[in-house]
Amino acid sequence: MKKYLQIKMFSLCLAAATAGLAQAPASSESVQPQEVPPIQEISPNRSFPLDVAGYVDFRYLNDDAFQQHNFFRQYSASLFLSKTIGRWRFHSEFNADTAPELDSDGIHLIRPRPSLSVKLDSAFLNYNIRDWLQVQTGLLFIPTYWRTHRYQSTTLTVDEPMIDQNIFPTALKGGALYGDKYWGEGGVSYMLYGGVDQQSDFRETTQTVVTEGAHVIGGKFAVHLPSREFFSTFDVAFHRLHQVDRGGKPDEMYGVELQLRKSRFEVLGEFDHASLDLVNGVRSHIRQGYYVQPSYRITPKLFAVVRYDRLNRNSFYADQNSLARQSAGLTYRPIPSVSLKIEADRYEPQAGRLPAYYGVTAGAVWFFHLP
Amino acid sequence: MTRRQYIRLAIGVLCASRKALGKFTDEFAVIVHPSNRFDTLSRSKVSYLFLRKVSRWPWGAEVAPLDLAQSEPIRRLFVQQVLGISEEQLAAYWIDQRATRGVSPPLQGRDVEAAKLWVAARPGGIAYVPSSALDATVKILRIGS
Repeated sequence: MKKYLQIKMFSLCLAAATAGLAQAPASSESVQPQEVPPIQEISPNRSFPLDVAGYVDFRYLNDDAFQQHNFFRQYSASLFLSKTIGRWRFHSEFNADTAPELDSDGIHLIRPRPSLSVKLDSAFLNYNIRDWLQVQTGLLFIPTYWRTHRYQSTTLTVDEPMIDQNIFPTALKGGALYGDKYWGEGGVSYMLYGGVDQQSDFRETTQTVVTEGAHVIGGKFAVHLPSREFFSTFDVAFHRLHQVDRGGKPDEMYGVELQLRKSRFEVLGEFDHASLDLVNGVRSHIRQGYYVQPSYRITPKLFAVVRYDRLNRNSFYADQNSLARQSAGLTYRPIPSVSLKIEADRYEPQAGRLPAYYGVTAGAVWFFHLP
Repeated sequence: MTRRQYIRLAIGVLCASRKALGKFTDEFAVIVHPSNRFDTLSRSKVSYLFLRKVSRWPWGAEVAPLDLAQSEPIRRLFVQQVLGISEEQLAAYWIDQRATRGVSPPLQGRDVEAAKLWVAARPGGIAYVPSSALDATVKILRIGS
């Protein structure tokens, strides 16, 4: 009987809370709005039933596999379909790629071929209860900085940092609670997520990626630090993830991110660590890496960027599995939707046991949107 | 240089940069619906509304920003002084938002009259117009430092 009452009380509280959330907010309309004019009178933009955007990208890349350093070309195209209705938003991302081995996330839409994959990379439904409390469900990206903002139209570098796709898993099927709250110049953002992830696993000497399901729960907390407008962006974030793979072995991961922008300068930095295959709290091995990427806007259309990048894929064989890379490049955006990039790289394989090698990478990206 | 002198220098630089950003031209005015409860908002809060970082006013009305076309002379002033970035950075920001969140930039108004029509017809509307074009159909939202 006591348990029944407890359940009843809980149900009533839940119902009251739900009603509170769904309740229409107090209106401030002492002044009645005028009649809403047709949108054609307001804007010359054509309306479209769906927001359609995407980019086409060509990259000439240096393979960062540890035992080989050959160049190859990659063509890719991404398509974003979105729709917002009131508090609901749907967003999806499709991706076609001629170098499928570099893309470890997504659901194949056609049978994968050695030189072509077409995938659904992300698709989610979002409900905005408040800006500080939003719910998202579907195929989501794990919210590391680079995974979230990796789009070639906006990145300054041709290639991703080596920690991207190599430490944290890339995506999950599940749900997330997230939100932002701003006070004056500063604020906080958070994301709590859980589901089944697409874990990336690696052989010791090649970059072959095997994806497998693992149960994952994680969270990210970011602080947008106020600086009395000295910095235009001063964000620090901490990320924690726990996953249990199909074999029942847990992995623990954490990451720290920094984004700093002042006038023409910007610094991005990320450090990620994974303790893998824990048995009674003792890890089998670790995987970790970091990058630091300062950049400078020379003119409104021309950017210079350098990056120091290091990854150790497996601490068991630290010598064979560590790679460092130094990059220096230029990005030119003649118009905002076009990005042309060139970059020189220096690789230090096997912790300096092998001679360093050099490479040049280049990329061209065109972004489009409708309407 | 002693530690105290370093601290004084840092505070001086911070104050100087704050003073520089605190000035706004009177060539444009931010306008909202006459029922809007705010008379003044800080620059950063106005920028959150136009960058769609905040989607609702505190009383629940949906924030409905309207931008002006790039050909409008005051647009560049507004972007630089209120959003605190360049047109190119703003374009890159919206590319990132479309790709990562599926969020589109505000609609662009046909002209200044369209911006006033938009705001007058929506309780959550917000836009900016040349100060010379202000009339009684909309309310001015002052930008505090």
